Amino acid sequence: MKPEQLTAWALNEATQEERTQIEAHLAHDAALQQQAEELKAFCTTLEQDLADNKDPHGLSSEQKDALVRNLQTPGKKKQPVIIAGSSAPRYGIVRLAALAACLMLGAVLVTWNVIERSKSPSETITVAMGKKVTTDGKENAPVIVPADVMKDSRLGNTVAASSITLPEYDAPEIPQQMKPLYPTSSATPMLAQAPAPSAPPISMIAQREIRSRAIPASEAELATATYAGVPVNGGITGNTIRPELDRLDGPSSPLGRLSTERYQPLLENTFAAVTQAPLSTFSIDVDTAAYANVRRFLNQGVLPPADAVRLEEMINYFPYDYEQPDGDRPFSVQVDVAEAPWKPQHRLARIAIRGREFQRERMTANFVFLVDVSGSMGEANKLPLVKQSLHLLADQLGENDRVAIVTYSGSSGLALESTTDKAQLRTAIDALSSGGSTNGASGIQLAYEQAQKHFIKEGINRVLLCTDGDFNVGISSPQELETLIKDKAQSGTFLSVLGYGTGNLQDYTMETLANKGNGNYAYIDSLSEARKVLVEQMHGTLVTIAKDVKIQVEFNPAQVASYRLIGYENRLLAKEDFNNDRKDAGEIGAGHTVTAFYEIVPVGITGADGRPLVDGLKYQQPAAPAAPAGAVSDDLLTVKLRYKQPDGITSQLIEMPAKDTGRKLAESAKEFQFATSVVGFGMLLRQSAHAGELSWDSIRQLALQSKGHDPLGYRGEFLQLIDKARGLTARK
Amino acid sequence: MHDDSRMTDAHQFFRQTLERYEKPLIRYALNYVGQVEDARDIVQDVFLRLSQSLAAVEPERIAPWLFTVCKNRATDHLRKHHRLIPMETEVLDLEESPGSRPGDDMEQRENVGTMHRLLAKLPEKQREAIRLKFIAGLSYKEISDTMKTSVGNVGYLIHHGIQAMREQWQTQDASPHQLV
Repeated sequence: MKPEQLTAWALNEATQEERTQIEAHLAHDAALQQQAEELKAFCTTLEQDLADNKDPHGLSSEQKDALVRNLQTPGKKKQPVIIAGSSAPRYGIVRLAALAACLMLGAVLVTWNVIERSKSPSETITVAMGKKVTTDGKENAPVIVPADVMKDSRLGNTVAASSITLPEYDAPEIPQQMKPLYPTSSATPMLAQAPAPSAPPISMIAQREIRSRAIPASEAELATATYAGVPVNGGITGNTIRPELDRLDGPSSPLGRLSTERYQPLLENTFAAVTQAPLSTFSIDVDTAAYANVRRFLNQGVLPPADAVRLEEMINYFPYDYEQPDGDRPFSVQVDVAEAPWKPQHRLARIAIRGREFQRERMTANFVFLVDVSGSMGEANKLPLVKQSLHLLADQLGENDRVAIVTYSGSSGLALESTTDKAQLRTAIDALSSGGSTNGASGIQLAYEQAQKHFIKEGINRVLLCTDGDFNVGISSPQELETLIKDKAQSGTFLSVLGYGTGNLQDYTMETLANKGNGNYAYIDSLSEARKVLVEQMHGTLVTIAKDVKIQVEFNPAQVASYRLIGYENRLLAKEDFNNDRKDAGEIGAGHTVTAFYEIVPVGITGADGRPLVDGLKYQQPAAPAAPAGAVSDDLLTVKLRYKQPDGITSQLIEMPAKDTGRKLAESAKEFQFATSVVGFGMLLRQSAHAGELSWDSIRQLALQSKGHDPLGYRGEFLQLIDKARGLTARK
Repeated sequence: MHDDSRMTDAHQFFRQTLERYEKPLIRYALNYVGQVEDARDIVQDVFLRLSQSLAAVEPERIAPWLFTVCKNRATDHLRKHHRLIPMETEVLDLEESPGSRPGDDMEQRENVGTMHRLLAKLPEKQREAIRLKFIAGLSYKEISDTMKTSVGNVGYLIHHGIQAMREQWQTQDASPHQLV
């Protein structure tokens, strides 16, 4: 039972099924019963204290009467008396004016209402239809300006906007309207119906206020509005590095749409004492989604939630110039040690892996695109971007490569039977549209069927799932879905997940599915990201050169007091898993680089104040630094790595000891330094407890001096993200 | 335009809604703005808006509608008084927001209960879920509609909110309440 369920139960919010289950538990568990009682008691206290029903505040009777009277006379000429609260001195006049206006234009509004509703019947919420305005200093003769006009004014359609006044004191009272933008043409006629005799000429709009409203006040407004890619100016951040992202995202707010995005809580690894845990074991991870997702947040002017910042995915987003593997090995492994920039007494050990480049002809590919075409995919940064991505991928295909397309929404269908005909493929990609679907069967099973049917032995067999987070692929139980994907991966068909769009991103599920499918998970926020994932790093993304790659590090207690694995929090393995070939782990693709860092506290160091740096060691057995010299190695650690060939069953082992030569950070390789700056960036974004002396300036400096060769501009962009993050944190 | 019986139904619905939600809305707004008068004004405005869009609101979604609009009015109010920077209306889960924010005033006010002070310390999303649950008295489903998140996430937010408040409360010496 999850703890939330007990809380829900205590608040009478549990489902019938949960109730039964919980109450069965309670009957047998006295401790749980006690806990439940206390929880209930606390909730009661909470409710009493917060809801404070002893002296409930209501509207004044005048206010209520006014509301009711107002209601009885919608659109009638009768003057209402609206009583403002005791803050009347501040608002009274404006309010009276505004309400008078409401009534005068009531008839107009009713018409407006009807017309609007007939235009958008699916609208669920329509808030106030009008904007309170008064004329500059004249008699109370306000008008209501249909909200659309206001919106249009942002577009620069000045027909109406150029002649409206927005008095300073009332300026923020912008209409909260939840409907799509309409062209001015639909708004202007409404204005024309305004009762001319009572309405004086409407004058100048306060442009400044309007612009400041580009960050819309109402999240409800954002949540339901469909902007359909209308190039509204005055976006959130004035983003310059990714013009295509601006275009694709349009004005959709980073804020209002986050609501259903989900991230698995991520607890940062803490220091472990070597005497307690001499081994550290984890699975490699070549995913990069977290970086692209973090970039999306920053580009939209918001700091990402800490749980979205997965450090290993940040580090591994960048290709590094590591040494090529020699001999038959599928990859090279290198271990280096230098000082940690955030705590100079600490050492930083880097494990750097580079997958073999694909020199020969790529193996023939058998792809199935499994595309989410549900309604939510209609936005500009979703299905249209999926289509562009698929076209990019199509460009990369050879004549023997084959592709099938399966779509799913409410139901699923085969949009393209597996074919090697690229023209046919392009036509099918172009024909994808959201909402379209054919009959029955499960999307994912259909996709695997296609892959199986045209299975290429010795080839690349892969399903690419493109979605914004809707997993209505035909199997509702997550376990069942994971099992299916895992089985298929074992039989040679891998799964990659490409995440699109915002607001519905089921980050955790996507990552999990890709892991089970021996695939990778990338987040595509822009065409350039699609290019990176599907073109520049296509081989890495789509050609697996080794699977179930696990790393186990043994630390030498004579050298290391404690250590902390940076990132890979959701990739940790038990030490027994390392030698267990049935235990699934990460894959590595052609040319991929994978980097992992350990922060190491050497034995015998203390802080400037003479205290040990890591208090956790206080009660542990001291490491034995005085052990007989001959028996003690001066190795810092040994990295062991296990991997399987893509079609292999038994793993192979690579071992690599490493010594600490006392290198300063500045003496380490540029690639080491750059990766360190990415670590620092992530730690600051996560507000890591271990961030020590880190500052935005120091990581910027570090990234700048170690930027090196950056032909694709990823590192330059990283520098800009540092600036954005710094700006956002400074503002808080 | 409307026939009489429909108008009457709408009126009745409006009056019932007013009766049912007036006080929870004021409590809710009060938690944002801190002044009863301001909260009353905001809530009057909410109902005024309701009267203007009665036909467009689905009766079964009335609570999410009211509290969404109320929250917007309250945030607008705070923004007008420069007590809230725009970014923070949507501060993300788990993110503590240092600096000025609506709860600060609440923390300093003397005559509010301990729970209000503890509530003000929660991260925004948790705080909002707790507000909607305990101050507004909404169900998980209604909260999920208002906050536009899943019911599961509402359960998660409320659970963690309650746990955090409980921990703080238990460590407070000066707590005027005792656990039963």
